[in-house]
Amino acid sequence: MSWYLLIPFGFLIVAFAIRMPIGLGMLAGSIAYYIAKGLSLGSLLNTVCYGLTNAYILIAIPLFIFTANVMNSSEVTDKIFAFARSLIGRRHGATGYVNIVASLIFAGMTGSAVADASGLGTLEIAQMKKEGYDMPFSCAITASTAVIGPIFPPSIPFVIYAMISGASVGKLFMGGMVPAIILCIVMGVYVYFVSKKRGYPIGAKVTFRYFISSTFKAVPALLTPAILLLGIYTGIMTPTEAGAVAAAYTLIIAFLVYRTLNARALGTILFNTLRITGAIFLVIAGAYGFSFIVTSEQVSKIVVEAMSGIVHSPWVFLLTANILFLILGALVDVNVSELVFIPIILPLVKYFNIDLVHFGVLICLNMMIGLLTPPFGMLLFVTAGIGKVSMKDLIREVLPLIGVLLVALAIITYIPDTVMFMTHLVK
Amino acid sequence: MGVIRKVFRRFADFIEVQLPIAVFVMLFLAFLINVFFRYVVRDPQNWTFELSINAFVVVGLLGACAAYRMEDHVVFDLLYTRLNSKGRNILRMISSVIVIVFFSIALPGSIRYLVRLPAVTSIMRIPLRYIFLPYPILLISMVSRSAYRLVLDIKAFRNKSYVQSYNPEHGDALI
Repeated sequence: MSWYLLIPFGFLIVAFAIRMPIGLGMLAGSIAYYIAKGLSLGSLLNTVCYGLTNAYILIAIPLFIFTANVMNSSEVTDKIFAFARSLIGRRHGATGYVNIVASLIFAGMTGSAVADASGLGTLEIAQMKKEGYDMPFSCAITASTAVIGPIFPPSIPFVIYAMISGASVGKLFMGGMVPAIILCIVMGVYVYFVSKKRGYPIGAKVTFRYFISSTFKAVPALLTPAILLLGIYTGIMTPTEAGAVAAAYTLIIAFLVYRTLNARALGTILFNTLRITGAIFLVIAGAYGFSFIVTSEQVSKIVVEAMSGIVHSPWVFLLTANILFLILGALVDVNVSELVFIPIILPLVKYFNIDLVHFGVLICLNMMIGLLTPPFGMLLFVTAGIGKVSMKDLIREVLPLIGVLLVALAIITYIPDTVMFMTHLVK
Repeated sequence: MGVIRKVFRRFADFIEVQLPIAVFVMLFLAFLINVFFRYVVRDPQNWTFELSINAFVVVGLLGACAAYRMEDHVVFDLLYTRLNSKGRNILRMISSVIVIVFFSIALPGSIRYLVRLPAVTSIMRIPLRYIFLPYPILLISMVSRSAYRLVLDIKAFRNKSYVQSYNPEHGDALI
């Protein structure tokens, strides 16, 4: 390892300090490193572009983003919300439970927490306000349930992790299912106690007729996760192909079944898909430059040697990794955390013989919990904006929920079968 | 809007928005054709795979230009938001200067590399220099947009307003 390594990381720190787009900072740092080392700048193009042409799995990302945008623009979320309401029925704090169930269903269609919070979240917060829930709680529960989005398949962070680690995307998707259910259960228990204590409203009576009607309307939307999961589970389709088929299916139901989409809206959806894909992609392109540097400077080897002298047990390593990624998740964007830091510690995961799928699921959960914590708590910003609540009130309300999610994280970390059980079923 | 500005806008619209959206639609259709031929006709088509993976490179790199244009990129603004408008103005100028300097340096070497790149894709025989062309386009786009924003920020600094005068949500600030 030479001092040249300080150059790209110095640029990264500068990018953080001056609000420069992180991807641009990473690329500029890579360029500076190449210049300092006397390497051809054409070879940086080579590293980035060939890296991208070999990352077949990443094609799933724009497809999942597209599906999420179609879902959010075509009132499919309304059908999901109505269906979730009919499932929960009359209970104290019913809409709190509805929030959880609807997020789980929505998670099966998209792979993004922010898409959940901004799309479905708008509906959930408005309904909770109408029923008299206090706004900080409504925003806090909406932000927390959005965490389920990338844990239940499909998941954009899982796709990126698979690209970095070489783990099977199909197994990661399957591995996220039980943890997502655990998250629902712990949040459900929290909603139960809070609703009782604060006397939150009882849900509307659900007649058999309403249940049948809402289920019937939701069936076309509910088939989206079924297509995705069955396609991947049976091995008929790769996750990327399943992403394309799900996107096509979503378009069909939005245009022909629900008739809530028109050509103009489709143009906006395509433009938004391009913007989000481009934002993620620049970080990925910068990360290819960084990964070349990290590999050629043998950073991983040094990290393994240093850490293996300090940490002797896989359990302690997992605890350390959890703390590290929780902090990173609170400070740095998910894609940056994944693309910069995971390649550095991945050799340690192999050194401690930890399953890559198990590690991937719990690291993604860490980063998602990080989205709930300031200063980079993207989900807090989104829901505070929707509910028009102060960050101070929202943070006070979200803290116990973070505690509850940490309990789930501990369960998932130290009982690997919560993740691995489903992965054994993948063909 | 001046004629030159209008021409630049149209050109930027085509390169950064219309072209990548068209390529994304092509990628999507290629994938569906791939699935159809593999599972329905039972005659897998390799060209669809090659087309979609290469289209993805184009969509991603040109999409990054669109994201920069709309200020969608991932940033860390904890320090920035705590500064007054003058401090923010200075940080924006530093950020633009870094992009202009380093991306300009990278441009000639990248173009030389592309010009000399003899490789073609294995099935459709598309020269890779065309597929990787969005990379220098990305460099040019970032440099030109940063230069434009730098000029506006310098103007704001000189007239002591310090405010960011380009707003991605308004069309006239996009070059």
